[in-house]
Amino acid sequence: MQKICAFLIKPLFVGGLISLLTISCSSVPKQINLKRTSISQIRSIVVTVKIPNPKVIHERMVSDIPPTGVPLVHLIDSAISLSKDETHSESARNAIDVMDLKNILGNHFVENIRHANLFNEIVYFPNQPDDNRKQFFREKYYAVLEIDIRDLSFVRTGDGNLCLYIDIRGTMIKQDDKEILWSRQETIRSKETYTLAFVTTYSDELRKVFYQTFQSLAERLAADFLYLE
Amino acid sequence: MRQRTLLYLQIPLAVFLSIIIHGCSFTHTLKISEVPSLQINSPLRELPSKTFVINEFTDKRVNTVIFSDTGHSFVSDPNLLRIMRKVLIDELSRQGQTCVNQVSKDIPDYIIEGVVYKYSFGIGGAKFTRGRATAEVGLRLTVSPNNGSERFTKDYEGSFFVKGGFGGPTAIEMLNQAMLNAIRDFLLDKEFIEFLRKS
Repeated sequence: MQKICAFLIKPLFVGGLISLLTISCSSVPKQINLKRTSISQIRSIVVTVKIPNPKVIHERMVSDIPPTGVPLVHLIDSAISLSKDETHSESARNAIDVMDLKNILGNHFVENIRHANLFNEIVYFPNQPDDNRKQFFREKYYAVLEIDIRDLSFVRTGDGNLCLYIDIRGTMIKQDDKEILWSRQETIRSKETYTLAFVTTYSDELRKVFYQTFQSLAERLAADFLYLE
Repeated sequence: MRQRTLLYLQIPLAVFLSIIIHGCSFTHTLKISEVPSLQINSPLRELPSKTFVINEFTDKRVNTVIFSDTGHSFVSDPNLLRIMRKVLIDELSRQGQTCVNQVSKDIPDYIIEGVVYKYSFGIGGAKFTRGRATAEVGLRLTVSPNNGSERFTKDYEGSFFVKGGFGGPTAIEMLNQAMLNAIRDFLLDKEFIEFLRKS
């Protein structure tokens, strides 16, 4: 019965997939470019970086059909996989210094946009600003540019190794009226794959991987940022 | 009793329909409608304008199927290579460079050859779960100076992914984005810029 259900559900699933491939409710997030007219008013900006703890998705099945058959078995399997992945993610969190990653990204980005001499002052602030700091920013800086990494995950690929996925949003918001002056999205999937051991035991080699990836991300974002309309 | 009889009828009917669906094969073409332009400021703008001829791209993919499952195959647009070449021409021009046709009287500074070796779309874990849909484009570009000096060859791989859930961009929009990312990496490549400066 279980097999029959799976056999019947798959064509339906593929039918749904076709509609997902061809029909869309929304498109790639809209980009907002910096305008030359806005630049003249901006004297100083503050740059902040948000990075979540890295996730490892290694055990959870990468299946292309939704689970069918006996629900209890799947529930137990899923719970075990989830628990194992939580342990891997915990190891990765302990091994990877998120502040180090923030600094690599923030410093490279600021360095890249300083060359353009668009602003009198660009300050990189590594921590998430508290209320006092936000007030200080409002008084001192014209706009806040936030680089927000929304997804930082190592995901299992076909060869059993892990691939690095990064989803990043850059937004610059004017302090007084909260107008969005610039907005971009970038996603990166690493070309190379890494073993679980490599990811969960932070080594100099892994730092090199992050260093190169974040340097490239910073350059891309800066090139986007410096495109003036 | 009647319900049981209906159930006995329904199961073979469903199995029969499923066999028909499984047995059929459908091929869909993912047409490229419109590729948005890149909005970047490349270091190429700081260089003096050079003249490029961009030859027709060649296809080194094993096959043209982008994605397939249970009898459904999605193949790439037959004009893919032409479109990709045009995107490269447009983007180089937008960065202050000059692109001419081979037949033009102008003598180009460089000739660019492009080889498409990857154009794929994959869904890992399905959109229904927390999986990812990923589009990947691989483009090998060879830039040969007209003065006969050493040429520059490099592979550029662009990707774009979205995390699970309904909605979001279509496969073709994601593939377009991945294509643009590969071309952007070329336009921002420090090694390529250095090559242009030296040659």
